[in-house]
Amino acid sequence: MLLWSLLVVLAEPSEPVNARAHVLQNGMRWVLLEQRGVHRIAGVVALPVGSIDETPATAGIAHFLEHLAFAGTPMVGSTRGWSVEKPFHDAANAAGDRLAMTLRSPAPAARVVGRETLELQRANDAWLLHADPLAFTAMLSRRGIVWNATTSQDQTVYTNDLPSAQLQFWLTAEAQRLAAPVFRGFERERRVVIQEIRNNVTEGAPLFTRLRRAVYGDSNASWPTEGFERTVATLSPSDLDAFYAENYRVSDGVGCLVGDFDATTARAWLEATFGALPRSPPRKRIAISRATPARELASHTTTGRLLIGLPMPEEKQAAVARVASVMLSHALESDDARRRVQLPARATLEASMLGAFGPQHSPQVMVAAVELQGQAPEAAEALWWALLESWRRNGLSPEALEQAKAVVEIDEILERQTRLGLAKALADAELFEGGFRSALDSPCSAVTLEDVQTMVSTWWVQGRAYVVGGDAR
Amino acid sequence: MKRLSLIAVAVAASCAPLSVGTRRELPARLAIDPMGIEVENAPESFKRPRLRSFGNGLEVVLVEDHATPLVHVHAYFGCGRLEELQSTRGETLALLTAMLMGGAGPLSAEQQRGAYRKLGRSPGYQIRDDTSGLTFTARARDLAALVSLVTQTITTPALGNEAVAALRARAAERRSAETRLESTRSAVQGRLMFGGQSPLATEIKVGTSIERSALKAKYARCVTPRNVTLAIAGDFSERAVLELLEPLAAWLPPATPNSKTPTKRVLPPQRHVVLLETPEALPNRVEVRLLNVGLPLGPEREAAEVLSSLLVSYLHEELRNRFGLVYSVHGAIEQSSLGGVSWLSFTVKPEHALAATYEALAALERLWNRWPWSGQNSETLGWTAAHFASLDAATIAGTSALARRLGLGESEALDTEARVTKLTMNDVREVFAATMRPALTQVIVSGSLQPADGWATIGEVEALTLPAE
Repeated sequence: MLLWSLLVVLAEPSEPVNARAHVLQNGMRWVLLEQRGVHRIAGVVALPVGSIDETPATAGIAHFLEHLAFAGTPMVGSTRGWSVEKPFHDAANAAGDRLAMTLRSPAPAARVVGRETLELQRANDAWLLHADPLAFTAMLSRRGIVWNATTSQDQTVYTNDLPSAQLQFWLTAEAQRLAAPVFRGFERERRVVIQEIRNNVTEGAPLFTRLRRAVYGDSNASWPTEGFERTVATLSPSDLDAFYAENYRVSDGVGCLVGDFDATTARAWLEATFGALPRSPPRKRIAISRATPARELASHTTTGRLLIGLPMPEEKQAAVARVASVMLSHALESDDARRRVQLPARATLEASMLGAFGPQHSPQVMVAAVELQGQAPEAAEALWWALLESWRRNGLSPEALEQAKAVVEIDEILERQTRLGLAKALADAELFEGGFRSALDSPCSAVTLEDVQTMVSTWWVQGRAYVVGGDAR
Repeated sequence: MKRLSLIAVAVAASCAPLSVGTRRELPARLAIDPMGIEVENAPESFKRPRLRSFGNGLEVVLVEDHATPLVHVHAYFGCGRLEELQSTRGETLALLTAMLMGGAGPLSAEQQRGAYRKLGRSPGYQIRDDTSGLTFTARARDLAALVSLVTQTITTPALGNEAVAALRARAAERRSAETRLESTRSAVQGRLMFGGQSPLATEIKVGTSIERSALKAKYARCVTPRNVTLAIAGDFSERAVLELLEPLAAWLPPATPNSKTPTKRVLPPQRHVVLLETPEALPNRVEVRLLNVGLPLGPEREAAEVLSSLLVSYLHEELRNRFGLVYSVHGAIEQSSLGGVSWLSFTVKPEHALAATYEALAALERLWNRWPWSGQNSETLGWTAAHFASLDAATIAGTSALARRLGLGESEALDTEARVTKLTMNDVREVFAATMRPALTQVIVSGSLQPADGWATIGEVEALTLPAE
C-alpha cells in the first residue's frame, strides 16, 4: 500500500515554495502547492497527448478531442438520463461513422453522400432532443470556475481557476469527464474546429507550413496541431473513441493544484476521485527529430520574405537560445546593426525574431522573419547572414546580455508565477522534465555570454539553418 | 493463435465504422452526481486599491500584491481622441510616442529607449475617448529605476527633433493588411457612431506631418499634475513608492488651460451596413461587428461588463450551438463622456455572413421581449463576484485610476467590492435598455465577402474596399 500511495515532500525547509508531489494508486502524479489567502485555486490536468500522436489521416484529432471533452459525461448532459440518451448517441455515431467511411472512399457517389448526410442530420437532431452539449461547461461556469484547454504537439492541458470552496466538486467533475466523456454535439463541434483552422489561415501561414515540412520532414511534427480541413472533415466518432482509448490515460498524466486549499483534505479528495480511475499500461512516447538542414527558395519572385529556422542544440539549451534570440531581436531593432550592412538602393529591410517553433519537448528551432522589399529572396538571405555575422562580431556585449535577461526574466515571471501559470509550469515540468522542481528554477539567470557565443557560433550558421520563402507571404 | 488474431483484426477493421456503443461507464466509486456536491458560499477576497493625493493635484492609486515579483505603473492623462480635430487626428498617439521615444530629461532618444529596454519590457500605450495612458512593467527590484524613468518621461520629455524624426520613421513603416484593416474599420466605426464630422471618422495620418510646436502645445495642455493619475500595482511597499514619487509630487509646470473641444455624437437615423472588402487581411473568413450606443461615464461599469459577457455567451449559444454558424464571439464596451460604443463581433465563413448577421440581430431583438437571465440572478452574479475578485492587481489599479481620471468619486472609483456585491440583474437589464437600440445597431462586415443581395434588407448598404498601402 505504501508503495502505491506515496507522499513525497521534495521542498527543502529553506525553499520559499512548499510544493509537494502526491502519487495516486493508479500512477497519476499530482503536485500540490498551498497559497493561502486568495480563496481561489488553479487546477490543471496535463496529459502527454498531442498532434504527434496522430497519423497523417487523423491530423487534428487530438485538438478535436480536447474540444469534445467539454461535452459532458453520462452523469452530466443527458436531459432525461443516460439510459434514455444512449440509444440515440449510438445511432448518431453509427450514422457519423457510415458517412466518414463513404467520404474516405476513393470516389464517393454524391447520391450516397447526400443520403447519409441526411441520415446523420436526422440522427443528430433526435439525439439532441435528449442531450445538452453545453450542460457540463454551464455547470462549471455557474460555480464560478473559469475553464479552458489547450492542445499542442506534445500535450493537452485542461486549465481551471476555481473558488476554493468548489475543489471537491471540480475534482469529481474533472475525473468523471476524463474517465467517461460523451462526445455530444460532434458535428457542430467539427464545424467549429474547421472554422478555427480557417481562421488560422493568415498571411504568413503558407510559409510556416513550408518551414514545418523543412524542419520536421515527414515526421509526426510536420502537420499543424489543429490538423487540416480535409482530415478533420472525415474524422468519425469511432476515430475519436479509438484515439481517446489509446491515448487518454490518466495514469500517464499529471495534475496540479495551486492556491488556497488544505493539502490533507485535497489528497483525500484526489484519492476518492482521480484515484478511482484504473491504471493503464504506460504509452510509448513518439520521438521527434529534426530533418537535415534545408534551403528552399522560389527565386523567380521578387517577394523577398523568408523564414529562417535557427536550430536549438538540445532541450537543455532552450534558455540559452531564448536569451540569444532576445539579444538578436534587440540588435535587429537598432539602427547600428542596419548601418553595418549595405542595403540595396531604395530597399526596405524588415527582420525580426518570432520565437521558438516545433514540439515543446523535442528539438526546436528559433524562427526569424526577414523581408527585403522589391528584392529576390537570395538577396534577403544574403543580407540576413551579413546581419547575423555583424551581430556576432559586434553585438554580443555584457550589457546586451543583461537587457535580454531582463526581458526573459519578466516573461518567466508572467509564465510561471501567476497562480495558473505556476500550476501549468509545475505540471509541465513534472510531466516532461523528470520532476516539478525544475519549474521553480530560472534557467535564464544562469546563462553567460560565453554560452550565447558558443551556441550562435556553432548552431546559428548558414550550414545548419532551415530557410524557406520567396513565393508567398 | 496468430491466425486467429489476424482474423479478429480483419473483422474488427471491417466493422470499425459501425462499432458504436463504446463503454461510457464510470467506476462505481466515482458514479456520483457532481451537481449534488453542495458548498458553502465563501467570500471572495477583493484586492483593495488605496488613493494618495499630492499638493500639486497629482493622484496615485496603489494596489499591493506580493504574489509575483513584478511592478506595474500606469500613467493616465485627461486627454483622449475626442479632443482631436480631423486635421489633427492621431495627435494624442503622436504625443505619447514622442514622450516614449524622443528622449527625456538628460537622456537622448537612444538612451531613453535603452533605459526602457534595460528594464525588460517595452512600454505600452492606450488611447480612449476621454483619456490616454502609458503602461509600464518591470521586475520589483527595478521599481526605483522604473519610477525615475517614468517621472522623466512625464515631466521632462524632449519633444524635439529626435521625437519628430522617430514619429515620421514610424509613420513611414509598412503596415500589415490586418493593421490597415483595423485603422479603416476604426474610422468607419467612428463615422457610424459619432457622425461624419467627428475626428474619429478619419484615419490617423498625423505622424508624417507633425511639428514640434504642435507636440509641445499638446503636451502643455494634456500633461499637468492635475491632469495625470498614476496607478501602481504589484510587489512594493507603499512607503518606498511614496518616497520615489517625491519628484512627481513637487512637479509644477506652468499652468495652461485645457482647451478641450469635444466632438458631439450624431446618431445615424437608420441602420447602416458597411461591407469592407479585405480578403488579404481576412482570407476565407468574415468578421461581423454590431455597434451600439455605449454608456456615458458613470458607476455602471461593472453592470456593463456583466451585460457584455452575457451577450457574448448568448450569441455564442444562439449562433454557434444552434446553427453552427460562427466560430468565436467577442464583446467590448467602452464608456466615454459622449456615451462610448459597445460592440459584439463574430467571425464566420463568408457564405454564412449574411445568415449569421440576420440571426444575431434577431437574437438581440428577442431580448427586448424575453429577458432570459432573471431566474439566474444568484448564479450569474456569484460568477460575476468571482470574476471581479480574481482580476490581477494591475487591472484593478488601472481601472480604478481610469475611473478617478474620468471624474468618479473616491468610493465610486475605488470600491469595486461594494459595487459588485450590490449588483443585481436589474442593474444589468437597465444597462441593456439604455444601450441597445435594435433598429439603430450599426453593422460593419469585413473580410472575404461574397456577393449577396440580402444585405440591403438589413440596412442601408455601403461597399468599401480596403485601400492598398
